[in-house]
Amino acid sequence: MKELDTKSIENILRQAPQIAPPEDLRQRLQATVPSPIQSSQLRQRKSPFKLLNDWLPRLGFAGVFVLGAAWLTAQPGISQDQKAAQEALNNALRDRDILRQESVQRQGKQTYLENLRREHEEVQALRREREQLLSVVNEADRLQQENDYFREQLTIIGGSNPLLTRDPLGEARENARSVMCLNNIKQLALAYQVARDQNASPAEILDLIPHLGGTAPVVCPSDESKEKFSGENIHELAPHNISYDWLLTGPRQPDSSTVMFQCPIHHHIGLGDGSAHKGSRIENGTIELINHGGNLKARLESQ
Amino acid sequence: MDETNEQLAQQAQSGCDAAAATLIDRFYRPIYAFHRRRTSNDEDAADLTQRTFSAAWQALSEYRENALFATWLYRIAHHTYVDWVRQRSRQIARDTRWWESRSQSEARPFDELEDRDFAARIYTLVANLDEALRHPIELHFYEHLTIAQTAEVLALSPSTVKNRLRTAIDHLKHQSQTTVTTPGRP
Repeated sequence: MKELDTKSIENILRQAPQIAPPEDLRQRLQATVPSPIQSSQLRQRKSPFKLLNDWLPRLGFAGVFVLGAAWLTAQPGISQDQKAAQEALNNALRDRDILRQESVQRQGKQTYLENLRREHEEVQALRREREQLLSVVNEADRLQQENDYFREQLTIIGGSNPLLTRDPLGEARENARSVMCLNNIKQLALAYQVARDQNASPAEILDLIPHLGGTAPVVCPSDESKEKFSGENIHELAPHNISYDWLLTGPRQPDSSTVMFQCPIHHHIGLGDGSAHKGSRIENGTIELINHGGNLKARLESQ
Repeated sequence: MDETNEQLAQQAQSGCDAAAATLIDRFYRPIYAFHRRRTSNDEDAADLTQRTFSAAWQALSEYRENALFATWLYRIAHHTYVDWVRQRSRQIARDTRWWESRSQSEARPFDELEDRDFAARIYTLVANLDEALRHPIELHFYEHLTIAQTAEVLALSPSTVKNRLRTAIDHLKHQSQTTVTTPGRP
């Protein structure tokens, strides 16, 4: 098999046989092919038409341009009437524009004037409102001053006015103390009843006090002049520890109406039957205290 | 004395008919062969040759001395052929066995039958190539133009001409191998 490579193929191609022309081709060419001079002349002969083909579009455009210019210049002039009418129209248009401008300006001014009026009215309304507010403020100041004056006067005239001096919290405290005091009187009265059965003396009654528990009920809660007694050592009891008055001066065996103890502050009393009564009842007359045989006796209303 | 083609062209430009005749004598054979390979008969090839020289003398005023006359003439021949094909507006039947007709009488390089047969196959394959590949082959190998001259005639770049030549030869190699290995085919 033949070896195929590029070189071989190229060699084959390069060695391709040349083709011989027909024998008469040379003479034919010499006879028929125009010489360069003749060819040039032929070209020049064709050139007018060629020139015309090249220049025809340009000439056409130039011709159109010239015709158009000629037509424009050949147009007849605008008549005088047309000129006058045109001038009048221009003037009317000018006047219309001027009037339009003036109208716009006038509208603007009118709008400005209306805005001014509206603002003026608003300012007037605000002024009136301000004056009203000022009068209200002045009235309030005056009343405040009067109140202050009256308060001062009331304070100066009398603090017992319950409306001015009343202290609800203090009253509540005092009521509580009064109740505690009444309770103390009650305990003391009971202690005496117990001791009476045993024919005890006041000192012996006092011996019972520690057994009554806690702080001995011998100091009134409202009595700030007395020291509270702890109740541990009865012998330490002294007048400065005791608020209540021992009123039994008569026989040692009082009866149920005999007042045994009394609080000098609240006037609560403890009777021989072991009961305790509020001092307010003495004040309002439901309990009448009578001195009987040296002893103070209580006569209850219910009795 | 032998004047160069360029000098003769200058003289012909000046109006020397003898110089023009000499140029025709020098180039009518290769121009005819160029056209004969592309056409199917002698008459068309002769007609194209005449047209080529007519066009060349008409355009002689545009020829510049710094260009090779041969390249310039081949370019005119190529354009003459292309215009002729367009005017005919139908596919031109080519003679794919042109080497058998009117080959020159000088000794053929392929004396052995096998070589002649193989060469014939190569020429047939070239004739059947697409013209984009065939024209560079014809100008470079058949007409012995350089790569640069071939590129100038075909209005291509030299690299394009090289690529097309390479492609054509690879195609020939592949086609000829297929042909060779297939028994019984001519």
